[in-house]
Amino acid sequence: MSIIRIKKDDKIRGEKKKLKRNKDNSREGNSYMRDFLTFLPLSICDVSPTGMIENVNKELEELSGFTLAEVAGEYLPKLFLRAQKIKELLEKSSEEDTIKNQELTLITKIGKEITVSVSVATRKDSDNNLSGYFLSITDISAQKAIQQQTEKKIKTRTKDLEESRRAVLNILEDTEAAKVEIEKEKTRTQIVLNNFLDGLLIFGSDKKLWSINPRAEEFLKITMEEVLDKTMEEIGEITGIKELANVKKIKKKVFREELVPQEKGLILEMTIQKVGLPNKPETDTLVILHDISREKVIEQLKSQFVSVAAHQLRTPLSIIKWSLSMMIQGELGSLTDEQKEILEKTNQTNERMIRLINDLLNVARIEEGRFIYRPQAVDFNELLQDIIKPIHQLADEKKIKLKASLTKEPKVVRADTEKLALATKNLIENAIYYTEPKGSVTVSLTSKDNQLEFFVKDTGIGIPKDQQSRIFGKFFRGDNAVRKETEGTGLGLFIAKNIIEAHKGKIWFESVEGKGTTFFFTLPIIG
Amino acid sequence: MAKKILIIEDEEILLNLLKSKLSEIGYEVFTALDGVAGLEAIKEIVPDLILLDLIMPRMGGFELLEKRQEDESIKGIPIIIISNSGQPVEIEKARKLGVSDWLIKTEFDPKEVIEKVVAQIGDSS
Repeated sequence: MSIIRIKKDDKIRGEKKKLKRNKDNSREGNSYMRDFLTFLPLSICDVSPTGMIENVNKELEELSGFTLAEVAGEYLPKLFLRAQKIKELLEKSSEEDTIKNQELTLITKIGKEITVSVSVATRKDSDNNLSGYFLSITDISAQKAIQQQTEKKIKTRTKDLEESRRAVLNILEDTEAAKVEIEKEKTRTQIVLNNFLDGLLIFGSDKKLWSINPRAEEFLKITMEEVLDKTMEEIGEITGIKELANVKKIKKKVFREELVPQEKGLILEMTIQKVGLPNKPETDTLVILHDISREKVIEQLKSQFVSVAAHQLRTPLSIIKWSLSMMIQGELGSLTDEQKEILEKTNQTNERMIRLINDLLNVARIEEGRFIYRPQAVDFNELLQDIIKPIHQLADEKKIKLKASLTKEPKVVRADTEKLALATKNLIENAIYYTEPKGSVTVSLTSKDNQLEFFVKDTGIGIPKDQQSRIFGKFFRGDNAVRKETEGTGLGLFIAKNIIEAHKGKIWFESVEGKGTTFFFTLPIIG
Repeated sequence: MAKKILIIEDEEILLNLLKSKLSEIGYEVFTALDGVAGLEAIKEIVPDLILLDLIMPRMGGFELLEKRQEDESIKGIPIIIISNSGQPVEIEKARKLGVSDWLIKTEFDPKEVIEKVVAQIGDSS
């Protein structure tokens, strides 16, 4: 019996030991779990099946600001911004065991809202009844902030891109509109060029032709295909226009020249002009061909008219001249002093008329281009002395001192003697006409570098500054000249200039109104 | 015997003026009012000098000069042109047709014409 009791006691002791061991094991397990949960860098919360907080770990205490003591026994939804959402989450997890990474907002003790990711797992006892929930809570506010920032950045960038796209589209639209406008402008320009009455050739900065209008093709008897991309010189060669072929010699900005007729009746005036855009000065060259045939014909007709008219006018004048001359010389009976005086005045008037007609005839011939006739070697020094001799009488009548400072050497020039004498006489007589009594007129002849230099200087009325540019023009007389001397055709200087220039000379003047004038000319010496 | 001068000129006033002037100093003066009459007179009279206008009715001065060149009997007679024209080309043409001198009427008076005549053929006798 005792043995049995002993055995029984042993059995009880054994069971007690076992129980103690189990209790120890359980305690150890709990302690282990606590330590582990404390250490785990993840916020963990232990919740009862009714949603009451049973335990929180250290990490969650730190995250939420609440101590275990403060939250234990509180309902979980208290910790979150949207209570309903956490309730749903718990319900859902009880059906599905685990729910991972749900985004919620945790409210800390001090009221701060933290975006967190919540995962829920259900706890079950050995009979598989719900015994509670485990929640892991991760602070994702930093990621969230980054994400939001990134999103914002993307949004901004997208907006920028959108704006850029719109801007580009606008630019494209504008460009298209500009292109259409340019096309329109180009067409307009082309119409103008094609219908222009003048011939136009345009050379680019590379000196090659890039545009020619139909009129120029017609004038030059060439086609665009023949001359496109050719230089002015090459086109000069093709068309035989020497002014174009020798274009390199032209230094002037604007060059204007009458071309040798290309065909019977066609006379062209060519203008070569450098042109440029406002910001690209003078890169292109424009050649304008203007048809002046009609002007020339009119000019010629006018000239012929003057010639015939002048010729017809001379006949009665010569009759008057001869008749007066006979009467004045007393060949038709003696005259009273009064009669003689009247006849002499009439004669002077007639002479004036003759001079005017002679001038008109000379102008007509100048304009016909057949004025200078058969130039030959002439000693201008000798010619000048012959011219001055009779003028001394005129100077004496006008009480003007005429001085001549001439060289002794011959100065041989090639000249139409009669015309050169006319030009020189015009200049010297002008000096005397437009100088007051007691004034002086000086004639000088020198030479330099194979050029003779002539001048006639007076102390006369001078040429008003504002009229100086017109003084060599046809029929032009200075205001003060008209006041002083009603006689005068306004043709003398025009004729003189044409004569000197036809002899390859230069003519110019210096003048101060009220002080006097000096006219100069040069002529090339041949010996 | 006085030297004979033929004046061919359509302007009667000038013609008469010249005639009286030249007659005065002793020349024997004949006149014609156009080229046709002038040419006939030249052949008939055979003058020592001809004063010839250029622009005249029926036959002008140049035509007359050409006809004179064709006729050996009158070819050598000296001629002075008296004209209102005086373009160098005309003067050149006239010289080729044997003209000795050229006077533009408005540039000379009768006295100077006489001087030219005397210079050409000497005085009247």
